[in-house]
Amino acid sequence: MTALLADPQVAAPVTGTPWRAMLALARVESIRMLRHPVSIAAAVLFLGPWIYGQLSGGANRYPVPADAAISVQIFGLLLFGGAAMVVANLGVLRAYRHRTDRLYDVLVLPAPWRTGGFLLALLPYGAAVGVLVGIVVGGAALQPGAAGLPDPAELLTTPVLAVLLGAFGVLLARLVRSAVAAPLAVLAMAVASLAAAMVAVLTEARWRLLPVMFPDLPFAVPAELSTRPSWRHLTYLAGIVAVLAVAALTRSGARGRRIVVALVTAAAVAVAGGVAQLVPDDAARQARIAATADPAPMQTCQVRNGVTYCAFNDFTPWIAGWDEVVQGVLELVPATARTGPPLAVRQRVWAYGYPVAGALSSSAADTARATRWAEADAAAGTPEAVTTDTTWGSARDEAVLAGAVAYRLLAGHAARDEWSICGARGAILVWLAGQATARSGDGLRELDRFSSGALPFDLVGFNAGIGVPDRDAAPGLALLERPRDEVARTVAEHWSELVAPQTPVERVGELFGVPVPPPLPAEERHTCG
Amino acid sequence: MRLNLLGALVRPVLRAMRRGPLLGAGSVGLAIVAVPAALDTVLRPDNLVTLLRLAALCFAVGVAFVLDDPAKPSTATTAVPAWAAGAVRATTGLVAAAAEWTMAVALTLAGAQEGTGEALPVRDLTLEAAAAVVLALAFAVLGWARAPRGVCGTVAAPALLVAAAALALLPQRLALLASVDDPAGWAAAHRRFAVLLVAAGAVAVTGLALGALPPRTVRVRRAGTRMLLMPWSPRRPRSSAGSTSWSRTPASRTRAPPWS
Repeated sequence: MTALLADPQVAAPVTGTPWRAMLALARVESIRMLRHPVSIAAAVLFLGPWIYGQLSGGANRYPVPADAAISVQIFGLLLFGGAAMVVANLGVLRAYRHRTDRLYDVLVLPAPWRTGGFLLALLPYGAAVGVLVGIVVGGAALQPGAAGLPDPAELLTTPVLAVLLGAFGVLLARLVRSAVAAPLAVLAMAVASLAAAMVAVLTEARWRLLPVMFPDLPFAVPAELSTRPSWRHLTYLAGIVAVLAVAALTRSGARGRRIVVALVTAAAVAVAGGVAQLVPDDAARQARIAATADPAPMQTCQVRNGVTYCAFNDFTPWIAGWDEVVQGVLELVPATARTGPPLAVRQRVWAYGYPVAGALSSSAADTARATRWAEADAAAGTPEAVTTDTTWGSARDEAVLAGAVAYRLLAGHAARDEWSICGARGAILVWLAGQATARSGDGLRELDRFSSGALPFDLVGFNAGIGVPDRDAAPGLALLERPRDEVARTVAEHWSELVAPQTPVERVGELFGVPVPPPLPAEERHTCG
Repeated sequence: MRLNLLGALVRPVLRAMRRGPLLGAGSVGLAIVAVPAALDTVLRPDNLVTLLRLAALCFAVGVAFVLDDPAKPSTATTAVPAWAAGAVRATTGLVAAAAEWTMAVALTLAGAQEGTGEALPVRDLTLEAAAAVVLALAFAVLGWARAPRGVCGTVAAPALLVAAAALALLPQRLALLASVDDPAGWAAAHRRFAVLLVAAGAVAVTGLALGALPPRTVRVRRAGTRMLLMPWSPRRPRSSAGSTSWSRTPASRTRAPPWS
């Protein structure tokens, strides 16, 4: 017992504000949060698919980093936000769970300061999330084929969302003293995300009040056409974080003038950010109208191997990829096939007036639009330019562009008034598209697998595109199994006959000895042209 | 172990159980399917399937807490084997989850419009729900076996969510969450769900059965002292237990694991 009585001297307690104690608690809790198994699992689940994509070579070589920073937000909200909510909630409830909360009354740190420590501990957590998001989006931006740079505000949104839900987890622990609340809140959040995704039409400004701003178009747009008020939305989120933090502090017993001032300030920031993001951006709207009607003034053109490529400034690294496909098609056709004006490829976005889900477009409207665009192309010095979009990198994209180039060569003009390509032309178009590059054949089979009735060459974000009815596409797909040079020789010999619109698909069957499916009953046939 | 002993155990165990998590999770799960059913939005079968899956996860979160027994340090010393109370609790949780699931399916079918209800493969969805609930129970049993204080829902519920997130991210050829529009993928996914259900059930039963083992005694290297420690306590005092002054062992030496 003497050993117990002769205890070493205890350091005298430090007097003053509990700031230092709160920071010490925040430091300890942040380390505990970061090394919590749920946090580690979230990081592994976030990085796992990305690392797999990098190692297996399946990662997109032509990403749009600005789009990657946006699409990571929903995933990040559910994964990191959910993890932060559960971990912070468990951390705050730990004392209650272990029956030590009653002992805290004798410690230097009063309950509101203790809550403050937990809230501060979320900041390193957010920083860690920011690093992980930075790795994934930065990895995309460092690709040689990357189109542009990500918006810093969009990059910061995911970590702020994690901190927001972590703060909600702290508040939840102060409201409900049960560890069941946070997992249920995560599931409720998943249901809310599902509901938001089901609404589908989130283009109206008021949907920006959701934590995640959903993209208003289902494809990437150049940075100069973006209408996302990303900094204002980030301010709005920061305001909500502050409101949640003040609510948690108040719930723990913080009172007084400083809390009132903090609450008013936080609410003002949230409301100001929330209202500011609803203000329509007229300049971006005008830019979208102009870019949709005639993108030429915003674009850079390059000539490669006699073909003119025009792309929005951010997207010029993609020209090398497009050129590979175009040259692949040109190698397959005889020199006489290059009729019409010099070949050109122009990138377009339907950024203004794009029909949102549910709206139908008629082929007459598509033709009118394509004709207007063709006139703009002619005025810009690239008549009959092949249209391409803001999605690139997959085998499917290569097959679609190869199909459009093949149509341009077969018909002598760009697709404008004829959407269903029948007969021998259709079969040859399918063969050209599938044989253009090493991957375009796979892309073509993928297009075939996910379609019925006809093989569509639809560009992302244009609703309409050329298509080849399945019966006419079948011999073309069969030709892909044949030696490339042998078929190319026969195609070159009979080029003018094969590309004539009236040549029936049976002629392809005779020439190459490939099976042609029997004709469909008259009422099921596609109207050609 | 006589059956009447088990019968005698039922009432006190039911009274000692925490009903809050089970009821809270059940009501959130039912609200998930009830709100869309009450609204007149027409949902596609795929959406109804996702809502039912999320509701099943809620019920499973409730089941993750059924083994929570803060009185474990005192009940561990009674003559009744540990698995008996655990079995009563697990059975109660499974029965409650089954009742909640039945209600959820009934609500969904009642609220489904334009014939989407007939398109729902209720049998396969029940298999999915059963797998989720039994997986939660397996996590709870594993946590229960390792928790000296008998509180395991705090481990089991987050573990269940992490497992659900991991299963949702599986690549296409191993996918568990198939779409109803893909019959081949759906059938393959449900064979995997059956395997998951059996594996989770085996883990849960084995874990409970191991609870019947007598508490292990640990000999502390101090003459004349025998210390009875809880079975499966995550940290046993190691060398510090043998030091001359037992009472001066720093508390930080016996840290709780990071998830507690």
